[in-house]
Amino acid sequence: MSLPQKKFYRQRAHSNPLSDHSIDYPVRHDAMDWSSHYPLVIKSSEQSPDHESSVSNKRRKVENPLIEFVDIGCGYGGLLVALAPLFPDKLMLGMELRVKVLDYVLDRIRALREQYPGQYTNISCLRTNAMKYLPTYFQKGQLSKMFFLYPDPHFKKAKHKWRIINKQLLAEYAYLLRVDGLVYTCTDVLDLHQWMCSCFDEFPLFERIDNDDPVLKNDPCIEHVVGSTEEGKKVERNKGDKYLAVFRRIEDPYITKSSDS
Amino acid sequence: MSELTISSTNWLAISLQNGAAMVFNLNDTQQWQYLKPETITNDKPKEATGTKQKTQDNDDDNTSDLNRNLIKFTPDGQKLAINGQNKQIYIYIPSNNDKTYWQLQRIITVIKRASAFDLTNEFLLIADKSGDVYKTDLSNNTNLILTPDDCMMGHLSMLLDIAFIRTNDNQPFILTADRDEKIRLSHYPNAYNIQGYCLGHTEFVSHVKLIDQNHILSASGDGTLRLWHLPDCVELNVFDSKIFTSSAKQIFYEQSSNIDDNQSLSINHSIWKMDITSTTSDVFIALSIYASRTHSIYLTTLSNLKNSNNEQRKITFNSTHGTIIDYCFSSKNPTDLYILFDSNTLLKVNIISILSCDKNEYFEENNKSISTILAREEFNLINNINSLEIIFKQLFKSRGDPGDSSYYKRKNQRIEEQEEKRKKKTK
Repeated sequence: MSLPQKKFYRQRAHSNPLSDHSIDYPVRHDAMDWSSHYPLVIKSSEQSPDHESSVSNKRRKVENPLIEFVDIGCGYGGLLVALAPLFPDKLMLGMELRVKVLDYVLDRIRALREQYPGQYTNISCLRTNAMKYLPTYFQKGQLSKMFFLYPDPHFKKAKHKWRIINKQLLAEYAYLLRVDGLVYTCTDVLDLHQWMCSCFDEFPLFERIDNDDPVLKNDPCIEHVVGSTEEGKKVERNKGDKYLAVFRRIEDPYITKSSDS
Repeated sequence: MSELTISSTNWLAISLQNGAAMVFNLNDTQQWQYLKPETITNDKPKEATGTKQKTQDNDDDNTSDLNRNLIKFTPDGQKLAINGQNKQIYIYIPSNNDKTYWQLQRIITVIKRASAFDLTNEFLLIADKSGDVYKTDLSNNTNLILTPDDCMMGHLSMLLDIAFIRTNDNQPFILTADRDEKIRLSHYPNAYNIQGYCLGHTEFVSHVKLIDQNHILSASGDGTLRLWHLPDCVELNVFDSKIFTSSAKQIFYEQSSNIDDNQSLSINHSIWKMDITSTTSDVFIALSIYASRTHSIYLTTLSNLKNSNNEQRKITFNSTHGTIIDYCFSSKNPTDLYILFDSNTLLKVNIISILSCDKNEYFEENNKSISTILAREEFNLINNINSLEIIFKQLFKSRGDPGDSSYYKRKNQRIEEQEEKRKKKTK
């Protein structure tokens, strides 16, 4: 299968995240069968257990690995494809609301898996509304990285509640990220960058990591966050500015006055 | 619809049209009062520039609410909160003069009309249709206009119920139930810190009721009641209304219902209303399902449900009483269930007697003094069951054709055409 051509998968950039899109989502994270997404990595519950493994105690109770990286609004999949070989033992998921764009990513992954057997088995993508249904896919503290790259700025004030980063949703993102997990945001719209930074700064469970912090200097994701996506490349071509902001999930600073402390 | 609630000090309150309410002292029926909101001339909260006021009418019309605890006493019975008109919530306190029993203490103006609220003795939690939760202290006595800074947390979904809970290790939490099948458990007052989610329902969650410090019972449009353990959010039991309603023992009058109970529409078994009460021996549950919402109430206990022993009862009331408007258990005498009908009748039934009876017996007690007062012309119950049904139906999600099937058809056609071209070339 050859790599898909984008011209067949073009779709309007904006989609209303608050309308009912007839999306399928699991009731709970453990009701989701990920084996169709990561066929070589995740064993489905239907596959019978390996009876020969009674010999080796190590093989017993090998639980399926959990997704750790999530790209919210993954677009045409640029980041996922770039990160897949860098973290071959980490499962990554892209989420996208637009049907055609999602289909492109799935076709791209399928083609890559065919062309490079054994590789790209740790990435996949599904159609969902991340603003509404995220907690149904993952358990508390499951994720170690979340990516919000070039999100829709929704410029008009009335549309601000459609923005993927807002005060209410940060609570959900903080819930799904483990402590010390990272959120990467990148945009070419200064207004949106400032909005996102202020949302995170005011939110007690995140702290900003400075762009010159050695943690980021040594982080292999950064160059891809900024440049590997469709949007990122478009901004390059148009010589726009890129604003990167990375945040770390921290422990709750609120100290409860409990009776037994 | 008008709502009914009873305080721990045995005062009964009924919400009426236009933000008004009636309160009755069940200990002494001579004591009653009509609470009429004053017209306030303070400014409405400043709407963000550019937002249109199209929804103003819908917000002010208090006939467009679902029954959801919009009239409630504090646990100590010392304050009464009523959801009024014009985005105002009225707080009443016992009166310090001889002329009245209750007086208006303050008015809280909200940003968006409340869809549910919960009270502790210290504060009020307000949930609204856009998914936000606001908190206000009850110790103040001045009028207050809420601002976005008072917003503690939010779902990106309509909130249908809210409850404050303190678990057995004295940890406070807020429970919020939304239209997207989720029940969220958030810390209090640091509500930005989510403890967990109770996930399992397959339609909107309409009720969340506290059983004890570590258990809650939820009701949903999917027709199930679920028992959850907190704070780990584990689903312990699922009780399907189809099962326990079909085997309920029918008592009182067999109402020849206009609704065909054999319809297999899923909405018929969704939970329309639920109330629970706890005694030391058991947890009693009164609920109605959509199909028989106007004349019947199912009664059972939590142990009955767990043991599936088919000891539940279905009471169908005499059609002369009219349609059931609301019902609730008494806080003072937990085994008494009060039922309000649109004929201005207030009935009281004892749940223990009903659960132990097997034949048609006449158990209802008609509180005639209250019924007579309610029947007076100037007091109008809210009876908007038709619009309520429409709102209720709209909460269900239509999982229809995603609309992308046409895209896939075209894609498959394109792929086939490409295949054919390639075949022709290789020939």
